[in-house]
Amino acid sequence: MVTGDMDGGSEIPDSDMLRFNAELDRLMQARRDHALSLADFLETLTRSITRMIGVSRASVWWLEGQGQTLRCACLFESERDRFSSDSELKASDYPHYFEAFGSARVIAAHDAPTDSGTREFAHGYLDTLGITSMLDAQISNSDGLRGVVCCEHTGAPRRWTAEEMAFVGSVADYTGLALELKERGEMADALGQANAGLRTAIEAAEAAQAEAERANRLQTQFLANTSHELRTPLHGVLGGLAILRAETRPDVREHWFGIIERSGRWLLGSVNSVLDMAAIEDGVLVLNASRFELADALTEATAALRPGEETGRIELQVEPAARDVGPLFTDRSRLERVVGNLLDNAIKFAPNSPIILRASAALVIADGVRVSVEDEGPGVAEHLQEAIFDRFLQGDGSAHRQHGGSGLGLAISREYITRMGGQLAYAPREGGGSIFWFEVPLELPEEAQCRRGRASSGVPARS
Amino acid sequence: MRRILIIDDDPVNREIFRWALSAEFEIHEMKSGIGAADRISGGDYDLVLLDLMMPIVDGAEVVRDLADINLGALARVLVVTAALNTNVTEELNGFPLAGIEARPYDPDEIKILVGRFLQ
Repeated sequence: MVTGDMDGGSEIPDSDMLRFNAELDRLMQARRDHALSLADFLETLTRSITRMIGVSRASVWWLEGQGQTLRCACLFESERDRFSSDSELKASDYPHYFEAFGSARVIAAHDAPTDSGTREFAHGYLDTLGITSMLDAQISNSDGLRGVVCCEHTGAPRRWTAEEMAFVGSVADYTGLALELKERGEMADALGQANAGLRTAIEAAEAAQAEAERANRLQTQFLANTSHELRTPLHGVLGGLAILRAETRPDVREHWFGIIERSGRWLLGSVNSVLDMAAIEDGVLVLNASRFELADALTEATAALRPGEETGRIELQVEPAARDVGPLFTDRSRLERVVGNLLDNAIKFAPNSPIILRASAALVIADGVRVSVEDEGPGVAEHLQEAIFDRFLQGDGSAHRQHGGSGLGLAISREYITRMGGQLAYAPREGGGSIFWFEVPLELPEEAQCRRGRASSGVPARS
Repeated sequence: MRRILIIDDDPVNREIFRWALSAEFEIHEMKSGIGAADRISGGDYDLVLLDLMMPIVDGAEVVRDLADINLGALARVLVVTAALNTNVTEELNGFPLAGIEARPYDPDEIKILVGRFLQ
């Protein structure tokens, strides 16, 4: 099994050979079957050595510091039944020993105090511990020399048999193998960790990219919606003007003048919404309060709808409670815009349904009025009931198609109403359909007239 | 008289098209995409002017539905839209449509566009 410094004369008893081989098998088996850690394996085998070859001390030492240091990884003392570790030997203190175990697989020092390899230990070590014979074997593996297995015998000096030398040599080989397996495992773990780290980084990057793409898609969708919202009335203006150039019938001309004017006003409203949204983002939106009757504003809003809309199916209902509260003092043009947006949505998304524009006393806030737009259309799917107020509608745009109206309309409407100190929300209508309602206080809150929105510093409010 | 179907949710757009085309063509109108695929399929129109951005059932959905029930009818559908959105046009390019065009607002241009597709 091991070639070494065997002092070949002695007979090898067959029984010992069998016993040693069986023990080596057992050690290998134990390491494999119980997935022993290296430290546990070292304890198992040092204990095994003391028992198998009858020595009082067995230890495993790793070579460190460019081969200049041996550090004890595990020492078993059979008499005390005790493990210890961490003592250290320097090549500079024991040059002959380092040379000896580095050049021979096995050092069999039958008489340790005089053996050329071990006599450096004679004073202060061998004599103190009563060690008479030492049997050391190189630990090496594919990385080269890694350490030494050391067996120390006390009592009368003994002559190591070739079999004992072979056994300890084999134990040392197993130790080298165990060390190598452990290091490979660590490397595999490290690679695994590096891999996992890389995977996490890739996933994070992919998530960031997906988020950026999503934001980009929403931005594109928003721009498409806004652009559509601005172009449609602009085309009404320009198309109408082109028709006027060619049209001679007075009544038809009058009709197109009306369309152009209303398209222009609707366009102005859309432009104002876009600008207001930008002002809100910059924190500089300022509302303007004036005193007016709610019913007048609702009538005005109905009259200022997109040209050509079938306003005939809108029924205005002003309950006495809404009149009794007296005139409002808030931002009239933006309130009318909100009403216009809600009506515009109802006209679009509830085709052929009657539409009720109702004014009543506030239910949710104190000292306010409630305005609702009710239709008998398909209503808003539950999962979209909040999303429709998001300027950047979630999803594939189907929400916009199904309920989003202007894209900006509901979002800006909610912003306006919130700044007026009120609330705007959706509720399903009993029996089918939608109710979009808002409530505003009778008076515009003081702070709304110089409100800064989310940019809380640095930007002065325009007045 | 040749028949044209205009599908557009904006009443002013429909009116401009009607003003431009009604002297030469029989004009039919739909104000949304709801039921549009069936109507195009069975309507024997010489040309269909289909808007894209419409509530509830948009133009792209009309195209997809029509492709399912009567693929050949797509050859008479001209998609006209105010905002040419690349995502949508890319998808629609896969269908055998008459064309995809930016929607003109000038009546003269409308006549030219329609004339181009009806010779």
